[in-house]
Amino acid sequence: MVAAKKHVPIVKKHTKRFNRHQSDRFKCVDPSWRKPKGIDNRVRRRFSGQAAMPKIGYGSNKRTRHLMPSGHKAFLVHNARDVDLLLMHNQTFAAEIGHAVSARKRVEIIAKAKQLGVKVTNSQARVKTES
Amino acid sequence: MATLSSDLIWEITRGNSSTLVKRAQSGGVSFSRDTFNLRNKYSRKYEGLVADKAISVQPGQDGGIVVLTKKADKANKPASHIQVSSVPAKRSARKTYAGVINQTAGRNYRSDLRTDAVARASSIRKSQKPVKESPPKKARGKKAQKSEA
Repeated sequence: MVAAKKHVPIVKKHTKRFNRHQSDRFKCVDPSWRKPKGIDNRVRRRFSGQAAMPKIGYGSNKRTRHLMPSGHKAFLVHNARDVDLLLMHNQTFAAEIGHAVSARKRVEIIAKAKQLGVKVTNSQARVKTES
Repeated sequence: MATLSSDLIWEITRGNSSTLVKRAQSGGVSFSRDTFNLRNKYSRKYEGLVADKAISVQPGQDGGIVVLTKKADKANKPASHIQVSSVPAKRSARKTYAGVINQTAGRNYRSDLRTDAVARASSIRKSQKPVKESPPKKARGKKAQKSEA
């Protein structure tokens, strides 16, 4: 397995979810984010002590967007042929085996990935012989 | 592909080509399965299906590397369309790359793909080395305590 290319440190500016205003008070208000629109709304008017609203400034650095902690991006594969695509990209992409792939084919995929130096994010899944 | 312009073929096929592999994951990527695509990257420059002249570097049957190039004037003769040359496995790295370049960029054949062809030859060589066994996992937590005792 090849280590990922060097990159600037990954910074997540806001790791908690943005919950909808007053979703903690009423069970009929779903926590999915909805921007408050009311004329008097204190969250919308950004009063101190109120919940923060999502905005573009919370976005990740373009260089580290979609990166896993290892520094790779994930690429979904379903067979050994898909792993071949990553031959020239093993520093930037890691293979992720699709959920519906059988244990037998997973072994093939993992062997192929190892040959090409491609990281597999879920290489432990399903291939375990005993628990 | 001599009868049609490469640019036209690219414009027609770029949205839905048999070689295109698209994923929405991690911001959306498109790779190419084309054997004549040196970086497996779906772009006008690298896509070999579209180009009159294109280079392919493949692993050989028993180690080594096979370099394929498209003959631009034989586009309508499939049997003699592709020039094949191989570099045996025992050839040193430098000589392998020199061989790749001599077949391609050294003859003014797609000199824009020189580094890509060499890079691919290099990673194929690396992938042909025997795989190292990964070290056995160390037991952690309760299992480690058990094995110590």
